[in-house]
Amino acid sequence: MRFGGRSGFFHPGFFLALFMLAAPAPALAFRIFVTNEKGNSVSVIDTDKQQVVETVPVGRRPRGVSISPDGKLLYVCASDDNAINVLDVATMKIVRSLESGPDPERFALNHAGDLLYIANEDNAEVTVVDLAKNLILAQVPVGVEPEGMGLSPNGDLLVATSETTNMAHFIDTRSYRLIDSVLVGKRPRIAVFNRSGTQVWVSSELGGDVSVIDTANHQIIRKITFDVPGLTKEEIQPVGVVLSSDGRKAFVALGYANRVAVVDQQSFAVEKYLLVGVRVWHLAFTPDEKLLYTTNGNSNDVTAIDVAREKVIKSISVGLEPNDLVSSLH
Amino acid sequence: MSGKAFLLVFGFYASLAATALAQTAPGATQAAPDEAEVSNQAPWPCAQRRTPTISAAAVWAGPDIAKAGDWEQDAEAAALAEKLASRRTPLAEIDGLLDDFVKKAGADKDQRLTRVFAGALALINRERDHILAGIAHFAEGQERLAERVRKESEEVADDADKGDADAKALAEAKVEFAWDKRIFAERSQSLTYVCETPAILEQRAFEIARRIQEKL
Repeated sequence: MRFGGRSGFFHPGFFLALFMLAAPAPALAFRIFVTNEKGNSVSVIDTDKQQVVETVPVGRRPRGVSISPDGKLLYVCASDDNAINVLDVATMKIVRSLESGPDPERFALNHAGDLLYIANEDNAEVTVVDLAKNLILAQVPVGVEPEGMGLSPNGDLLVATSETTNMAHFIDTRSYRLIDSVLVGKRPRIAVFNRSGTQVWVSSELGGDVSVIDTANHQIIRKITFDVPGLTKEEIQPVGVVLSSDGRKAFVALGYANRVAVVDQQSFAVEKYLLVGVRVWHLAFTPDEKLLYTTNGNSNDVTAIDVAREKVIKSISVGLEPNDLVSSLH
Repeated sequence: MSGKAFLLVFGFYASLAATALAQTAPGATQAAPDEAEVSNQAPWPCAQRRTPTISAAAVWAGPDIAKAGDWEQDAEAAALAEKLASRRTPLAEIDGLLDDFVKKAGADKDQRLTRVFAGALALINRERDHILAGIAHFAEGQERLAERVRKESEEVADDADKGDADAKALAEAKVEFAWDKRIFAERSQSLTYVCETPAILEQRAFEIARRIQEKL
């Protein structure tokens, strides 16, 4: 897309020659899609320009957002419409809306891109939707107020968190059966697997910690806690978590602490805190993991972080109450 | 409601009127069970969570403000803090104001900028505390009005039920009821705006802190 835009500056042959000489290509520009919970819209950020290039209307109270494995479709939870909006990434238009069960908040897409696992906050269930048929295949009862959904790298295991029951529920995705529930810190939010699938990291907003669970035996191997000088324990509310695929770093959004914690994935040591924006909720890498973006729900902006330097590089104004975000794949 | 039922209700309210004078919470209010909580925690009508004073650490990763010296003793820093904290100053002007200050700030620039932050935060928190107290006061007023609207609605219904009620008195009661309902609804609407204010002030504190930190 971006090459198309830029190639006009060059003679096509010249451009091709450059390409064939394997000259280092400029860093790819990605697009970050941000759901604005109160703005009922999605803001699109160009990672090259570091600014919003487009804002499109979607259903009411958009929260969780995900992208199809081929990068062509965007899925947005329209919580107050009890639906999932499907947008064509090329046109940014809603092409269809899916059955979601009541009040969908977040979801996971399977790796083949044909099933959605949705957390229904209001009825203590995880809903499995066949995307092609727009059909609910299964509803798995879990704890009260399910929220975060993490899918293992091989796709066999789904972990759903329940905010009120304070549990991480392990669901077998072949049988849609609940196989185990692990008690974690208060008000668990997000569940994320590491690249090898040996661990799942679960953030607890009120517990103020992140539980690292061994996926082989479902034991908590570490509870990572955070301490920001000058802030009370109550102000530290971990929500979003992302793990770098090289297994080195983890980034945890700390909500009311307005900071992102940088954690060593191997030693679990908290190395650094980056001040980003007011009420930082969720995080997303660009596919090359060079940039990390955060949604700051109360300052109505997104912060761009240089991952290698672990430095904040820009605050970008978006719509009202940005909630979740995802990067384009290309 | 039948005539007998009306007499019962009337008797009930008459006894309420008497007991109300003795400052008890009549059973008719929903808030009664929370009375103990209300006494040490003012009612909070907003959907947004009530958050206490904005701590420096929540918005600031710069030098320790405790070591920067008293901002009120640094007249220039205090004047700038006041300007920054005021919502009349557009955020777009903040950088220019800070640049002007930095130019003449001298060798202890960072320390003085830290004082500007400390002052702006203190002033914003002062305004925010006023607004939090105002919201609580407003909520109490709405609770009282809600109670009156409930009573008026019952009285109007009862009078209409009686059939032989004084038509003029009934019409007057209806007008009063309609007015109170309207005032209640309008005040409820303005509440949604008022509830945004503490968060707007927090956004402002964060933004000011961010811009000052960029100048350090």
